[in-house]
Parts: sequence; structure tokens; C-alpha cells
Amino acid sequence: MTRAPARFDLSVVIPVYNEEESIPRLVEELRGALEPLDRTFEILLIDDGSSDDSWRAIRDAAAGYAPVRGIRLTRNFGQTGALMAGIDLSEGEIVVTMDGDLQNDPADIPMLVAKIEEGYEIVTGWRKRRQDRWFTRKLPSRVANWMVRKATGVTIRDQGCALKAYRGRVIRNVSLYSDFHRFIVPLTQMGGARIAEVETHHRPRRFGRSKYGLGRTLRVLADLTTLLMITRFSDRLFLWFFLFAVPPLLLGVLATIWMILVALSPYESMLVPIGSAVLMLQTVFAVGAFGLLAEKIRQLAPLRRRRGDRVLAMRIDPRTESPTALLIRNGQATPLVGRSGPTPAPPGR
Amino acid sequence: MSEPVLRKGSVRGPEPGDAPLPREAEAGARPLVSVVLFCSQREVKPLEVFEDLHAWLASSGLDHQIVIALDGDRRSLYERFRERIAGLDRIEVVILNSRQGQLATIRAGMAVAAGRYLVTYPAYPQVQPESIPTVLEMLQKGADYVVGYRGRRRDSIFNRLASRLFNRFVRNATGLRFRDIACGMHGVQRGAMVRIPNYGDNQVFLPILAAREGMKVREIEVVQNPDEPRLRVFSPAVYLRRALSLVTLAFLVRFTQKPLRPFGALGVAIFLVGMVLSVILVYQRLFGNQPLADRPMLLLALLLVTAGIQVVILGLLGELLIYLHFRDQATYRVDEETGEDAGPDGPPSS
Repeated sequence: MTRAPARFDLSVVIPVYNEEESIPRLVEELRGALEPLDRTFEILLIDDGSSDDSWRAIRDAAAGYAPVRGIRLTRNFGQTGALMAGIDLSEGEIVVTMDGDLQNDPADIPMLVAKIEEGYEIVTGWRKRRQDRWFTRKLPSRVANWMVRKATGVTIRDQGCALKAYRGRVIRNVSLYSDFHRFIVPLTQMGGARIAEVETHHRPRRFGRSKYGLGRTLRVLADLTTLLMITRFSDRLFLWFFLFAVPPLLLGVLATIWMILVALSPYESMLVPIGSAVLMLQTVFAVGAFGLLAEKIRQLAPLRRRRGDRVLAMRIDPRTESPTALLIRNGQATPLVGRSGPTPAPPGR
Repeated sequence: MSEPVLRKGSVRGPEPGDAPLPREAEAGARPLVSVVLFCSQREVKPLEVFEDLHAWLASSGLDHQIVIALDGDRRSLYERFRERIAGLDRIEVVILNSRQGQLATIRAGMAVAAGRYLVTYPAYPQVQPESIPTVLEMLQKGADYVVGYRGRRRDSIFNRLASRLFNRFVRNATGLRFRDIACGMHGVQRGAMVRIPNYGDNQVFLPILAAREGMKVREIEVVQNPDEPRLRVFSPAVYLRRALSLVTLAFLVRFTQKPLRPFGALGVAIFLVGMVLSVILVYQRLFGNQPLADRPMLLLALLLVTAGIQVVILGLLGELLIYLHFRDQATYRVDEETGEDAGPDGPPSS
């Protein structure tokens, strides 16, 4: 995907689902936060198939304030779909995402932008004083954050905070599907993005109802397993699948020893020990075969989905020692900062 | 006008950045509407149905065309149509060479149809042609796909029960709420039809796949044909076939994006049962003084443990396939944008 050079310094992407009351105030607050920044910006409000009058509110906002752009999806695609729509259609050098429910404070945006301009590719908000119920919201989130940290090795404290800022060229190259917005940081980090975390405000919900609950924890667990496979093991799938064969392998060895012991004693029947050993060792082979199948599947997949498909790097000019951040994709290097296209080849070649 | 039928469902759409659907791109000499009269398997008074349809269309003044689409096993029906349609214009006939099923017949009819809007019409007494303008109006207002339902059904209790059962199943399986999945009168935009993936064997796949592609699917009441028999009983094979297509459909719509969720839950459940059994057996061996080696229960416990692991791994393989190939199916579809096009005031459906 080759993109035109960025048209704005800043894009704010906000998925909206049934938030008609919040929109006017949200736009007002964004205006107050963004105008003093002295940068060109756009505000993208993505109506994710709301059933209330959110779209009307968005159109009113767009009519009343030029930087607002409303995008309406044909139906409810979920937060991942809405976020992807906004990110794909954004034209900013820097992309900021946030929730439309006013729990994030637009006044934090300048802080995030400053961090990006310092040279980070991703800046995430950290809701230090979170204004939510402890048991249904904070506890699951704590557990999820801990698991994501363990699974992916990305050490940020608050994965769930929707307020994040990205270097546009980095985030527009990540594709997400089905609920992967929760793991947007680890997925982006696969290419080696530098992450910063800043403390942000979090406000209690003013209008509407929260769209989350406790029931998603199990689904998150399944997704997390997938994430672990994708981020950590996608270039050594055989190893990953073989991990599942370790318990049956150990049990199979034990069963074999047991079988031999039973064979030496005249009193016990042999059938069950033999059966156990065969069953366990057969499982090891089956799981190993699945691992090989996985390797084959990956080998046949389009090149773009392989690990190392997008790599972030730093080029250092030896004379001035000034670094340039690069995105390397399909063997082509594009500078992350600035409005130019692919970098010209270094002189002298 | 009815609510959008979409409640929830998995997320699919075209490649991001794709142009919106070409709604009325190729106008020109096309008729406004092509009515696809399809006949597959079920054949009750097809000529009478055609007569009604033709007479009504001719008197309505609609710019129309009738496409007669016959499945392979209904080719003999053409002999009966031939005399009747001789000398009539605005009629097309398409006959499949072999039996391919209802959906393939409808698709063939749509492929030769020239109209800007396509309306399917079953070749047995089920609906009344007076409903065609209602469907058309909804399409002209911007719906991509319109599904008819027979309001105030005159039906036997048996048919009502069967129909309610299937509707309920579709709702649970796909998260889409259709009032009457057996109604053969559907309408679709020409451009939208091209985008619906070719999948399945039953007409009900069309609206479900359309909704999954992010199209606007709407439901509308149509008039039931008074000649429709009150009691319709089919062979058990028909019900079985329908039920199996619904299972396929459920799998297609539900589990395709995140296979590890169902497979993982199932696998872990099996695994845990096996583990609990093993622990009980080992406990009895150690403290209950029961021998272990002659208890076949141990084999069952181990079998469950290993089967559980393998089910989880199948789910992981599914995840891998989807991760590696999901780009073919993007995750959203843009309906409209502010500033690009003033458009009518408000969405047509609210």
C-alpha cells in the first residue's frame, strides 16, 4: 500500500458507538486542546453502526467545525473494525486514538504528541487513577495486562487505555481483525517500535453505558494464546506446537517405565500400562505432525504476513551522526518522520 | 419499514479503501427490474405462477424483464413454458445442465438478468406479484439486499412450527434475525449481487453473506399467495438437507474469525475432565489401595487428556490460517462520509 504524503500533522481517530450525548462536548474539548497546538489536524469520528442518533450528532459536528470528518460504517463492526476504518482513512503524520465516551481527556493529547515528536513510535496512556468499578472493570483489566505482559514481553502497564498516539506510517501498516484492537501495541511492537507510556487522566462515565463486562475474560484468554503464537512463535511454529507435546511426552515416558515394571511383576495385568504408553506417545507424534502442518501453512502464506515483514530501524549518518527512523517493508525503506516518500538511495551507490 | 435485520455477526467487508458499491453504474438500456422466476426441486403450478406474474407485470407498467431459471432436474418444465412464452418479449430463459440446487439456479438467473434491481420469485404459489414494488422501493431507498417475509401467515401449525424452528436456529447460529427464511422473494441491487461470495446451497445464504460483507440488509413484509397450500410436508431428506446447510452456515459465520475461542473452550473442557478422572484414579491407587494397572478407566482418562490437547491445537491451526490469510477479508465497510456528498437527509432506514 503506497500512501500519499501526510496531509495533516495530526489525526484524532475516535470510534463512536451510541454516544450521541457525548459528541458535542467531545468536539468542544478537542477543539480546546488541539487549536493551541499550532498544528494542522483532523478529527475523524467513526460511527460504528450506532442505533441512536450519533450519526446526526456527528454530521452536526462536521457541519459546525471544519476539521471534523464523520465516517459511518454500514453496520456495527465492533471496535476493531471502526478503529481500522479510522486509521486507514486518516491522513495525519501522527495518529491519536481515543474513546468517544469522554472518559479520556482530550487535554492529554498534547502530551502524547510531544512524546511522539521526541522520537517514540507509540505512546500509550496510563490510567493511573482509573474511575471505574473495581471488580468488573479494574480487576479483569489488571489480570489481562499482566497476562499480556507475560505473553508478549511488552512492558506497558495499561494495555486497555484507548488513548494512544502513533507515528502514522507505523500504525497504518498494522492490520487488525476481530477484537485485536486490545493487542494493538504488541502487534505493532512486532516490528520493533519504541514505546513510551504517559500518565493520563481518566474520568467517570458521564453518559450512556459501558460496553464491556466480565464475560469477555475467557475470550481474551483465547485471543492471548493466538497473540502469543503470532508475536513470539510465528517463525518457529514447530517449536510452539511441540510445547503442547511436552506433557504427553513426559507421561508417555513414565507410562513406558511403568509398563516395564509391570512386565517384571507377575501379578498385574499388562493391558492398561501398554495402552497408556501407546496413547501418550501417539499424541506426541500427532502434535508434532500438527506443528509440521503449521510450518507448511506459513510457508504457503503470502509474504506480507511473515514475521519481519515490517521492521523499524534507525539509519545513522556517520558524518553528522544524526539518526533517521525508518520503516522497512518489502525491501524498501521509508522514513517515519517527515512528509517525503521513500528515501533516496544513499549517495555513492 | 422494518428495522435493520442485523443484530450481530462477525466482521467482514471488502478490502479497505474499496470504492462503495456501484449502485446504478451501468444504467443505459437496462430494464429497471429483472424478476428471476426460479424452479428447483419444488414444483407446484409453475405455469399458473408465471401467468399471474406476467399478467401483473404487464399491467403494472414497470420497466421489467422476467428470467425463467430452471434447475437441471426441472428442464422438462421448459417444454411446458415454451408454447406459453413464444412471441413474448422481455423474457429470458436459463436452464442448468445438471441439478445444482436452489442457490445455483437463482445465481444463474441473476447472471443472465439485465435489470438494475433483481427480484427473486419462487415458481410455486408463495407470494403475490403486488409485493414487487414494495421490494423495489426499499432497494431504491438504498438497501443492498431486501428479504421478504409473509405477514399474517395462513399456515398449518406444523408448517408454522417448522418455520419458527428454522428461523430460531438461524438467529442463534448467525445472530441475524429473519422473520421468514423460507420466503423466496428477495430483492438485491445488481452491483451488490456481484459482491456476495458464492457459497452454500440455499437461498438463505445470500442475505446472511451479504450482511457479513457489510451490506445493508433489510426485511420487508410481502403478501402471501392465497393459493399456497396450508399444509406442506416434505420428505425427511429435505429437512435434513436444510438443517445441514444451517450448520455449515453457523460455522461459516460464527467461528471463522476466532476458531480458538470455541475449539479452545471445548478442548480445555475435555482436557479437564480427563485430568480430574486421572487424579481420582491416582488418588485411589495411592490411598485407597486399588490397583491401577487393571482399570480401563485410566485409558479413558488419558484419552480425554490427549484429545483435549489435540482439539486446542486444531483451534490454533485455525487461528494461524486466519492470521495468515485474513487480509482477503477486511474488517469494515464505509457507508457514508460527511463532506464528500451531501446526500439525502438522514439514513434511509431510520
